[in-house]
Amino acid sequence: MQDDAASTSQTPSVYGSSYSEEEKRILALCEQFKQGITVSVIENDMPHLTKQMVVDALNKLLAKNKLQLLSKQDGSLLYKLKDPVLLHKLKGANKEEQAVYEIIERSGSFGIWARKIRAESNLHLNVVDRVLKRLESKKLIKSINSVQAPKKKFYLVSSIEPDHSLTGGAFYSDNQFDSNFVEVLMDTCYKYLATKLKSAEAEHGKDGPLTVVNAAKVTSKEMQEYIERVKLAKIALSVQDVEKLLDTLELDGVVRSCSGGYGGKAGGGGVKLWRAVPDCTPTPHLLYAPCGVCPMAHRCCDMGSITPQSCRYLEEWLQ
Amino acid sequence: MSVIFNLFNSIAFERTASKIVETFFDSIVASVVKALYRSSGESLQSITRLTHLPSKQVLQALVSLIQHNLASFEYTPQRQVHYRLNKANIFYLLRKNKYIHHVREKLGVAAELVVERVLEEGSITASQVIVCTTCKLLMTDLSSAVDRANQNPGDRHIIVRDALRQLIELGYLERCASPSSPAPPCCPLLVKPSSDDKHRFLPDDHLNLQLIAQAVTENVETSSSSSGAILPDASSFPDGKIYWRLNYDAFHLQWRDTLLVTSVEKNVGAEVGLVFRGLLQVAYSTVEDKWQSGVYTTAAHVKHALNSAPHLEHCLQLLGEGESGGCVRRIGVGGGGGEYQIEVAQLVAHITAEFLAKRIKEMFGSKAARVFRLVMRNHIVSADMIASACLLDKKEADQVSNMLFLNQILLVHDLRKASMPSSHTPELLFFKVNFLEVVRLTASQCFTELYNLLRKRELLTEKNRSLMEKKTRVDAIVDNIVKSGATQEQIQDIEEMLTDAERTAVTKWLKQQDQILTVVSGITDDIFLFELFSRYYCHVDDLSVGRSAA
Ligand code: SF4
Repeated sequence: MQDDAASTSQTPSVYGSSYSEEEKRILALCEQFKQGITVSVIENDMPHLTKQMVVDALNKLLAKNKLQLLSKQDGSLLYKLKDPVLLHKLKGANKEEQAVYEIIERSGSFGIWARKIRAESNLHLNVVDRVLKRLESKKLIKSINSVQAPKKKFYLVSSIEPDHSLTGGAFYSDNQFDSNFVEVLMDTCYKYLATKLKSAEAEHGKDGPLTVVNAAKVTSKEMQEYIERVKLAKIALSVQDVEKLLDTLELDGVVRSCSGGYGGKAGGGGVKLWRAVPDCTPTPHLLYAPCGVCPMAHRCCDMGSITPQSCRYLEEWLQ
Repeated sequence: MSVIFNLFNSIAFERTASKIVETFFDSIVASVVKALYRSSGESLQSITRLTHLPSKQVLQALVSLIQHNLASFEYTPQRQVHYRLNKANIFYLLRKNKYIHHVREKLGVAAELVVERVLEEGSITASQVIVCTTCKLLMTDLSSAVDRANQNPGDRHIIVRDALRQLIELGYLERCASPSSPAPPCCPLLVKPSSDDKHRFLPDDHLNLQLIAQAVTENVETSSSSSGAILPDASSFPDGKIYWRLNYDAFHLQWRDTLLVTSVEKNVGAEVGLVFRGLLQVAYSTVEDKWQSGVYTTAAHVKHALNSAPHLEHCLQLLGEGESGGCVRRIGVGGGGGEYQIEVAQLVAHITAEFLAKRIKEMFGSKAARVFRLVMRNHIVSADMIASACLLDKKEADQVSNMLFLNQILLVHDLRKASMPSSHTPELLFFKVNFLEVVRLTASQCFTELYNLLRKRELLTEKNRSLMEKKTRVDAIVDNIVKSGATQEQIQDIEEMLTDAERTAVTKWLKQQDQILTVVSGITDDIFLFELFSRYYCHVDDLSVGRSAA
């Protein structure tokens, strides 16, 4: 990033004399990195500035309504150039609308719900509702129902993509958990690992069990690429999403994970590796007769209406 | 983790225990078992009072129980005799065929017949068992199975003696107390073998082979093939006071090893399983107690003993890396290459946990097993986390966890309530698993199922009794007329005494009996795993399931 910034060290002079050199440079950086910049980017670009000078410059730009402040998922702050179109749109907005918009803007990709806006803006709930409706009709903000609390409406700036905690991530569609899709994905992952295990056994059987085990292992990245190749998902799955699938398969007892790079696996050392494990636990014998799965077992005794002598299930099983 | 956990001390086993005894003995012995079950020691008078049986019958029942090591007695400080049950041994009656089969596989037919007889009598002298087994061999067509090349058929008692000696040397049989004669009227007093008696040794001077051969000849002449050999009087032989009984522990130790090795084999392949078995054998040569929760051996020792194993390094690495359930730990790599510690307890816990997960899967579905594994892995899990961690729909996750809770697999973990409850602090629900309780619960279900199956079998036996008696009569007649050279027509006439419907009913009943006994035998395997778990659970640090134990 530093190199990129250095390559454009020449500050364009589109901003007038009301801006200091530092402010101009910050605006130029924001123009270059449309997704926003952090303080460290500014510090890297202008190492001669003290922290206080950077903060002062940023505050001035915020006061001049040139920048917007966003919070990232990890809590760090992001400075982004304010959309001139948006500025234009907000120009006609009243003070209440501007205040509400700023609160929503600050909430970033996590969004904010009406009650919290009311608490922060000190406006009456009816007023907040009215303002929200107006902002929505101007397409400055959008509302979304969270998967965690489907009845709660969260408001975000239109241009921001909602966080996974709101949408549920790749495994949700239309705010609903897509079980079938997840099942298909898990099945695909397992089949891939199982095939890998089979081919490892066939190809490396003679080289010893460790070689077989290592050859059967797959990294999360490899699995992600495979899913991408077979084009199962409409949206691209992240490595974390794929690890979630594999972790669930591990909870199913059909996959095992281990960290580190065995056998010269690309990207070893700390990378999570996965391999299929055969389902080696035999079915408990307890389940071979109906009593093992009988919901009435706790009421079954020698007397009363539920007894082994009169049991229909036992009789049927013995037929 | 210092809770004492005895599988056979449960209420659930109570009626199963008396049903087992009723199946193998009679209702009188079963009543005595019932009377003794809940007490830690009862006198003859109180047993008589509890059972409403004459004291003579009670005493006879107690003799049977003590002879079969199903009960024991001790003197109170007031010099009263108190009896108590050996509950586990009652359960082992159900494994009778397994012990016999195991010996047949390992040592052949002669040893099998010896064990069969020992189990029949409970405790028996060497001379008695040699006479009875040799007679059985002579009277049945099993003789050919034990005749070795160039062996004189008249020397079969030598073959049986050798088999017996082998059984003793391998620890399958052990010395036990001998009945004092005459028995005092109040209790079947036993004389315990003195501590310097060799328990794993059958000295030649204890056996008079000539006397045994003579007893065999007399026995064959007097007994019929249907009634079997008659048990000779122990006092007529020089070893009349040296009794032997089955040592269950020797069998169980081998079964435990098979269970562990099979688990490793299935996880990482036969080659690693073989090395693991070798590792166990090497470790056994240096430990006193093979049942220890963890056994050690040095790497140098292992490499020396297993140097012919292909890919030894690979196998040891896999065993050490937890790919096989975390059963082997390498400690230190100093001078001789360090030590290997075989974590028997850890592996048993791992197998038990997987077994329970499998049971949950079969009963409630794979999603329930997933939730169970998650809670086992994380120890405590909030209800909200279940859906996201198990990739389940929130509603479905709630349903599954609720079902597991209702079936006592998940427990609600009590969190201390906030001192100032307010609407801002949400009510959080946490789940946990009390693994010990789940094992106990499953074992109880096994006992209930055993009871139900034995009861059903008893009812069906009663229902088919007259039919089976008729069949036995017809078979006996057919046997006799075949021996006397009857024609095919005559045989057919006799066979037709059983109608087609009766024949079908007999076949059906035999099939049902097989079906019941197969499941009963299988459940004893399930219980065996729980027995191992109850032996080791206090040595287990982590009962996690669903992840490699690395
Ligand atoms: S005997 Fe019938 S009712 Fe009783 S536990 Fe078994 S299946 Fe259930």
